[in-house]
Amino acid sequence: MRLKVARYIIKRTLLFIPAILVILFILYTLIYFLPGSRMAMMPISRGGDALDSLFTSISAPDNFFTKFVRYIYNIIAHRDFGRSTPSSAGLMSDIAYRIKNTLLLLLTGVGATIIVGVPLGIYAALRKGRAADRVVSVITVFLSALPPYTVAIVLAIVICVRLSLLPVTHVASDPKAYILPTVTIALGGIASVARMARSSMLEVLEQPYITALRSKGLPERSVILKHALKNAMIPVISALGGLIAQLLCGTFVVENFFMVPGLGSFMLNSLSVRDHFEILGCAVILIIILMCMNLVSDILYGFVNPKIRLRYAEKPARRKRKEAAG
Amino acid sequence: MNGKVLRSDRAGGIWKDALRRFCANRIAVISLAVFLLICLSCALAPWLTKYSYTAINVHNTLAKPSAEHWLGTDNLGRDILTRTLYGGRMTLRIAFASTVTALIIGSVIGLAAGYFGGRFDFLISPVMDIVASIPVILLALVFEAALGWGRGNFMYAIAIAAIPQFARLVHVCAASVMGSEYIQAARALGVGPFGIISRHIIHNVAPALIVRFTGALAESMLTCTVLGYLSIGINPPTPEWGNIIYHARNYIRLAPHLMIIPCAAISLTGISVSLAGDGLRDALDPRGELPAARGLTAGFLSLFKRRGAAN
Amino acid sequence: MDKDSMSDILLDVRELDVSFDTHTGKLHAVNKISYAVREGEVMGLVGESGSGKTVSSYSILGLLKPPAVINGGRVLYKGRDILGLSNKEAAAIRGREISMIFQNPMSCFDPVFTIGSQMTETVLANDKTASKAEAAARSIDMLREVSIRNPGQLMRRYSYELSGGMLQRVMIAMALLCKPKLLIADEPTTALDVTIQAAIIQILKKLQKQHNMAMLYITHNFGIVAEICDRVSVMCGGYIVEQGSTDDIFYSSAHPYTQLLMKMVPRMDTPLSEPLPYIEGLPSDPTALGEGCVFCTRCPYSRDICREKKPPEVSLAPGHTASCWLRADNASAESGRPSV
Repeated sequence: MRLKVARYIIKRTLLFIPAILVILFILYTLIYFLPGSRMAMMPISRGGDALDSLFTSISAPDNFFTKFVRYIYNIIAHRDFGRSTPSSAGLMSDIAYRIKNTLLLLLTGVGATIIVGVPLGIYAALRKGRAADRVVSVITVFLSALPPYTVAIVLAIVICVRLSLLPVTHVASDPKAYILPTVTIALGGIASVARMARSSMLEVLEQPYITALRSKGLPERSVILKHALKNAMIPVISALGGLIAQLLCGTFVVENFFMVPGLGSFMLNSLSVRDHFEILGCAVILIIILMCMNLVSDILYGFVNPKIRLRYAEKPARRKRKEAAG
Repeated sequence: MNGKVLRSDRAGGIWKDALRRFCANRIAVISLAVFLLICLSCALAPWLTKYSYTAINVHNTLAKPSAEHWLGTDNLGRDILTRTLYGGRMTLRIAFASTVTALIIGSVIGLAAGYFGGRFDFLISPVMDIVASIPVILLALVFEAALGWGRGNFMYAIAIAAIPQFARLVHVCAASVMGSEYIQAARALGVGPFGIISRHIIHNVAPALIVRFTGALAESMLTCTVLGYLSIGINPPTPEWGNIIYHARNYIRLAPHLMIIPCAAISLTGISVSLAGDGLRDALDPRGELPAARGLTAGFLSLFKRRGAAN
Repeated sequence: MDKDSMSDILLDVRELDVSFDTHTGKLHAVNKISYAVREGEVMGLVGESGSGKTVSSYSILGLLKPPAVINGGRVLYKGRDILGLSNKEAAAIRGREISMIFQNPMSCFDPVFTIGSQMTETVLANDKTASKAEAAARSIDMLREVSIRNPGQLMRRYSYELSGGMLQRVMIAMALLCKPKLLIADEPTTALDVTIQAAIIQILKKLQKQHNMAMLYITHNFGIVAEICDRVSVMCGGYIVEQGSTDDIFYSSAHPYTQLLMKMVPRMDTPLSEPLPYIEGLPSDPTALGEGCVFCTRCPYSRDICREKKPPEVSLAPGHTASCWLRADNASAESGRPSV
């Protein structure tokens, strides 16, 4: 069985790289084909690196595809996202600290979502029908439908203006300044995850095998926390990917509202300045971050749901017939 | 929930049953009514308002709500009610257009993948998975960068990003229907592909599709308004709930109602769509309901949700 | 019940009464039923769907959930009332003293854990002294006893990889891991092929004799009753209408319902042109049970008194009782416990 898990992890990781490349290709195409795009004017030779020798040896033509290969290679080998003007410093030096900020927001958002949202949902499911459940349900329905700027505004007005507890605008050195942005992002995610966890748990608790487990004499704690929980987590984890995209949306809003210097605000800035290399570069970095998170959630899913491991590890044979015979 | 227990053996099929169940759910009905009311008033904006949404009146800026201007005026003297209604019109139009497009295209794709299986499935599934991994926001930003921002080009991005969820839903349903034995029976009886598709596949997937549609609608509304808030959605002076908020940000202390009203509008619409969608799901998927048990086993077993056992 | 064999009565159900509080009213699932199972004895609980057999067995192990309400009665296991125990107390009995196997094996296993882990956790939960290796060894031994050829490999599989017959055998093995004194079998072969049914019944018979285990076998199939049961209780609409040894029931059944049920079993020698027999009418609506006998609306012999008053429990022979007005006239009504 361990072999199957390992095989699944390897396969997912291997699929992850082509997936990123395809997405980058799509985005690259979009930027490439607009009129006056400097992408199209980017030279494919850099002056003597490995890719150049490859290109000359196969006499690669100067077209869209080779430019894409050159672009990707530059990123991987030279950390060079291209520059709009020869004098600009290049993307990586501009935004190293911004990446840190955005990553911080995203990761704490995801973390808070799972750590708070899942237990909340499970708790509500276990107390179904009672006051605790109703309160949680109402609050989560409400919160999950609120757009991030509404949450940001409300929090800002209540906490900053009226209560003056925390600063509104972000000041880099002040850790307290990270609280509101993170909470804003996390609240929506917590509400979504709690709703999902609750309904999933309720469904699992209705299953016949839960009764069968109880009839074996297992302590209730084990039935719920070991068996029911693991089954309930399957749909939650599979929805994690969409959740991360939602959190990214919140990150953009929050970076704008609380003026946190991050990738999101940088990208918006590049958009208004029409610096294509920067836009694409930011998109690439964000995609890579997000796909890594997706990979982690996929792997987690493989741990929780054995059926998917089977799908990836072996051909769908007629296992039942095999079993019935043996 | 609030649902009454209904006998499941009345004639009329699942739709009538679902309608009855839905109507018994007060919260769902109210939410749907609110949502439809909002949509209607935004659609009828030209007839409900007497001002133009660009009518600037510098003598009457930031006015409080009055008989003249029911919700007051904004920083340029424009009537807030008018701008809110027109803004909703724009936002909802974008949300509906992109979601409906995604629904149609996604369903066709999923249908093809599920019905034909084999090579289609092999080609389509990974593509859908990849498109699903791209966050909407990023795609929208890149589209805007590519095609010019402020003119609503992000709509294509929203539609494209919404396609995979519908495609996957229809694909799974179609594949399971095609793999079931009653389809072989249907085919043996001479039912043609259209019959199979319309009667069996669509009939089976329609409930889930409807529920998913409401969810996708809420999501596209959210994306649209977020882009507007970031001032890269629709360009002013065309009002759109998101960009109204963007412009109102500067007046948050002076005239907070400038920001609160569109926020409230968006939130109310989002919540009502969400609750209505939940109500639809509960009505169309009766698994959470207690059927009126005629046999003890049926009633009792439904509590333990035994599926596939003798009932 | 014979007073002198009271000592080896394992399970004594007395006046068990369970109902469901639903939106449409109170659903009386089990109406003050009483039966007893001795050590090593196999009691069959027979009846149509909806007769309350499953509900009564679930209540023994405390597995009922709201809106089920236990209105009264006692369930004495080895003399101790186990009805109304807290979940924690009941867990001590489940698996160790009383085990249960269910109707649909495909849905009774946790899909995300291997068979092996579910078996070993049963051992570990009920026997605090066992180690993991011991638990695994015992599981493998038990799997061999239910004629599974490659137990080591099976332990690593998941439930969805196995067929129904296989899973039912595993479920039996799992239920017997801790050598319970009583096994409740809730229609374990209903969801299986006839050929597999036969195999499962054989396994159950063998294990029951081997471990001298008492069994409460719930079924609607009289063929199985004949094969495996020592005593039979016939249930209808939540009442026990007849009780007796298997011989009593088969050769001298006293209640019209029992007789009709047995007539419904198709025989090999019936001519093909003859329509299959059936009982007229539908099982009674449990929310609207009337004042009279529960079977009166469908009974071919019903009389006025049947519709007006519930029949008393009449003793026809030692250990053989029936609740029917027909019999009340002939034999003297037992002044013991009225059945309803």
